[in-house]
Amino acid sequence: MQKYRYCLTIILLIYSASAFALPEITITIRDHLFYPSEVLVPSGQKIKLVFINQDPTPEEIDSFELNREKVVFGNAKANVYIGPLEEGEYHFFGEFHPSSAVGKVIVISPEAYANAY
Amino acid sequence: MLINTVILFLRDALPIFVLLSLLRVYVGTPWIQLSLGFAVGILLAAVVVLNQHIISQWAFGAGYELLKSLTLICAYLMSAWLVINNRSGAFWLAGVVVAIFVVPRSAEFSVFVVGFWFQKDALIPIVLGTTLGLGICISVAILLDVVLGGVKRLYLVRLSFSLFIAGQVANVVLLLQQIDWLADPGPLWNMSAFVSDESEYGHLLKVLIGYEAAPSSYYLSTLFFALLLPFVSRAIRLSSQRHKISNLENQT
Repeated sequence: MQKYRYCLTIILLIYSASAFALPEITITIRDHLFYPSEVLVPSGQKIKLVFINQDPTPEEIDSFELNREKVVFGNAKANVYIGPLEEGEYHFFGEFHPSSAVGKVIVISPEAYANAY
Repeated sequence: MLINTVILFLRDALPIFVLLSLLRVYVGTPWIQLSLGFAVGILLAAVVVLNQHIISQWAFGAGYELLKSLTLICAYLMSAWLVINNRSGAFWLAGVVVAIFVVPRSAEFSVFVVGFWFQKDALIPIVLGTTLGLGICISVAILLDVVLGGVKRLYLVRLSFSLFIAGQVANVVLLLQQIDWLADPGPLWNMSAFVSDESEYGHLLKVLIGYEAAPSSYYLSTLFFALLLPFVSRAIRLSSQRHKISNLENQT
């Protein structure tokens, strides 16, 4: 029993460590708009996008290019992991407000990313 | 809001209607079992919607994806059983498949409807969009029922059913990648120039055969094995049955 506990602890630690180490970008949803609407990320790296919905109504983040689909409930937050991605632009939108809630992830080389920040 | 409601309805409801049609044609399930399964699914979805905030926060915010993955895998395994074994008389199992499959789909649509129901300017477009979406879904389901019902070769119906369930369970890969439970190796190719995911054909093919314009190797291998598994298992079962019969004949 003790052996299994150790194994489980190690698995959880490894899982948590990888999650904590990921670069994180926060995008706020307010009045059915994304802030910022464009985010720069480095290529070849996994990224954690944190969506914070400040509206009382839910929003569904959808991206055909990123192959992601996630509901963010009203006054709540949600995480979406993307990448590693090749350089380019990847659009995403709010499925419930597709005309206003639009944004894009711009993937640039790690060197360009380092220069930008 | 009107067009949006129709699109959401097609995305979430069309797979349910296709499943109902396929189960009716392939298993010959009476409407009573399918309707009961549907009703149970809606009730379970209501429980999910009422507890949506709690569920979505499970496992560091991965709860909803895990719930959806679990329901898709359960529905797939039960559907695969229908392909592997003798399908006649498994009406209640077909009902259970419907109930499980309906939960995440209707919960997703309910989040949209419940979220906007109380906005006075959103009610009419939602009702109209739901009516239009429902009409399209029913039309596709009837068309599928008529086309597959007229097919004389049963293996074609079995293949259609297997393709559908494999396409649905392959979505688990995308869900697990989204919550970082599975690595994303990137797309193998991109066919968006021919049939993009956001096009009408893309939506329809996604529902029917799990089409992805830019699939990853994980997605494709899951789709392939999910399609192959019931057929291989069925072949093994039939072969062992034939073996037993020939042994009995030799003994007598």
